[in-house]
Amino acid sequence: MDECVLKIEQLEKSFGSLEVLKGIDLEIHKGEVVCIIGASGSGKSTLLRCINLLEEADAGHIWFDGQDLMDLSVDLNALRQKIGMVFQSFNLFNNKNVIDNCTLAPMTVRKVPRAQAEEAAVRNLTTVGLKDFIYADSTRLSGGQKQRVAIARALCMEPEIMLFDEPTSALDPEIVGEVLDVMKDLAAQGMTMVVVTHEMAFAKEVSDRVVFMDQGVILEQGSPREIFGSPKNDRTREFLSRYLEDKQQ
Amino acid sequence: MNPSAKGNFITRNHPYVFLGGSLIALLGLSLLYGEAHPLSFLTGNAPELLCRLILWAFLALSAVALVFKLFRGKSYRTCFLCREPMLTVSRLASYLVVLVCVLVFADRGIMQLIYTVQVCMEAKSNPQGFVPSMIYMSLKGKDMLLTGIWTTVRIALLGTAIAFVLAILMVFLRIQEPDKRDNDFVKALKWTANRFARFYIFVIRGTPMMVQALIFYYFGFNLFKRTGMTVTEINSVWSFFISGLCTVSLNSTAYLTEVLRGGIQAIDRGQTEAARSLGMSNWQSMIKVVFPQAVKNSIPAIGNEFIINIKDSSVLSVIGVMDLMYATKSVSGIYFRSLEIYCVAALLYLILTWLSSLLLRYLGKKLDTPVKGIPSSN
Repeated sequence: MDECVLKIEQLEKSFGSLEVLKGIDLEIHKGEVVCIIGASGSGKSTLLRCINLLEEADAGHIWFDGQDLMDLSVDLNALRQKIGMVFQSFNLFNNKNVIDNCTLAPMTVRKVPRAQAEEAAVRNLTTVGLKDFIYADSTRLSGGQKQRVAIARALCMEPEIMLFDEPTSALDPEIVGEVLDVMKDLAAQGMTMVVVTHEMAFAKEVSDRVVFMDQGVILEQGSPREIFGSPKNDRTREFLSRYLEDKQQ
Repeated sequence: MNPSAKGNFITRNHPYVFLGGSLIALLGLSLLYGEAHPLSFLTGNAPELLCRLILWAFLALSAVALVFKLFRGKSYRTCFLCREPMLTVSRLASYLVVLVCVLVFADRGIMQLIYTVQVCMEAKSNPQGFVPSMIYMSLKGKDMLLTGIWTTVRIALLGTAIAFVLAILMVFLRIQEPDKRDNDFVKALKWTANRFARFYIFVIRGTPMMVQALIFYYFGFNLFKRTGMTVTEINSVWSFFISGLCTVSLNSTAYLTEVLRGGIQAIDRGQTEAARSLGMSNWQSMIKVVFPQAVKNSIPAIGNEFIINIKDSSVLSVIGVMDLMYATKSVSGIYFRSLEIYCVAALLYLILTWLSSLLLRYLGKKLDTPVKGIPSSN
């Protein structure tokens, strides 16, 4: 558990004059599930997108696999292969069916032979419970099915760490569960996961560590029991209490 | 009148029987009082007179209804014209009017046209009338016009196809943006590619195709002349057709590049992000994910460009490409009539573009059906 997979140092990012990340320090250990919570606009998603450089941070370091991703000479494509990402809006490839969504990257990037790639795809699709949909048109699935395909697609690259950017925010409450179940299974298998989420119950139950962000800084982090039981910071308490109030309505 | 009355348009009583019926009757009468022709079957007193009688009778009835309407105002709806059996009678009468008018149209319209064509085929000189002259010149210049149509279609089809291929190459130049992580050489290359494509599009879209055609033709001509070829040799290599085709292709390339660029920009950014997050390079995600979707979305616009090329290739006649426009000009020169033959040309272009749009719509529907049954190695 102690081996550090990802280490973020003093990460800063602004969009124009708007400072979104104001010096973030974060370490992710192997096999750890870290949930990042916080109000909308607090910089959670930006932090996650900076980790695999979908957004280029302005300053700081991202240490992964012995290399600094912020170093301009680093082979970004090679490192991204090891960082899986699941998006809020699924982003399945609309021109591919389910299995081709899963095999495209292994076949083009890692040059895995088709047969082997399809075998892995079927295995991962079975894991997420979509064995019967492998030849379905990806645009005709439900939101929950799409998101599970997206998870399987990321798994096909055999990543060392998975990033989830509000994976259930675009889903209706009835099908949030099916995606969260898949994520729980993944966590149980020892996958290192960073999850930006508004699902407090999930954060409480599954995560090893909860990180609370507000206005571009990490205000507080600790075990779920610490954060949800006795938050030290006033802002954390305010956020969580308001959240729980909303839940009860 | 109950709007939800049973039956369809034919079996149902409906308002405006007199208005619609009398308009049709008037049209029929205007044809019927026109000149009869030898092929007419509605001749002799009996049939022709009967037709006129029926139409006039209906008009008279309509006039009565109009008078009633004007004088009785709102209470018109309760008068005998708006009650059974008059409702049914007037409806059936209007059908009789329609039937008569169809007959009249077949006689004075279609048979008249057939007769005119027959006359024109045997005519020794260009007839005086507008339509006869159109038919006469179309028939006499048939070969020229058909060759012209064939050339126009070939240029539009080949030109759009070549332009599509070139546009695919050009759009890849156009979308190059130097990235922070590229080395200086790649940065310079990308910058040059981008600027070249932008300049090309700027020039081509900013100048008329007619001027482009002339510049292109003479440029090629002079180039070949420098190599010491004779005019005959040059004409066989750099023919009007070839230079015209090049003009259309290079012109359409600029427009189609912008079409494809629009298609690429319309693809959700998430598609690229997902591909990049899986470790695919910018190029790989473009080729495998974004571009196939962009091309599919651009198909209607590409079809549009084809239709535009059918019409716009007419300017190529200035350099002597023997397209439909050139053929029309030639026919006009031979028979000393302009308005008639240009109307024929307009009609032919209209038919070409109409047929193309039908074809494209059909193809578009075919392509939209999702591909099924992808083979598996499992």
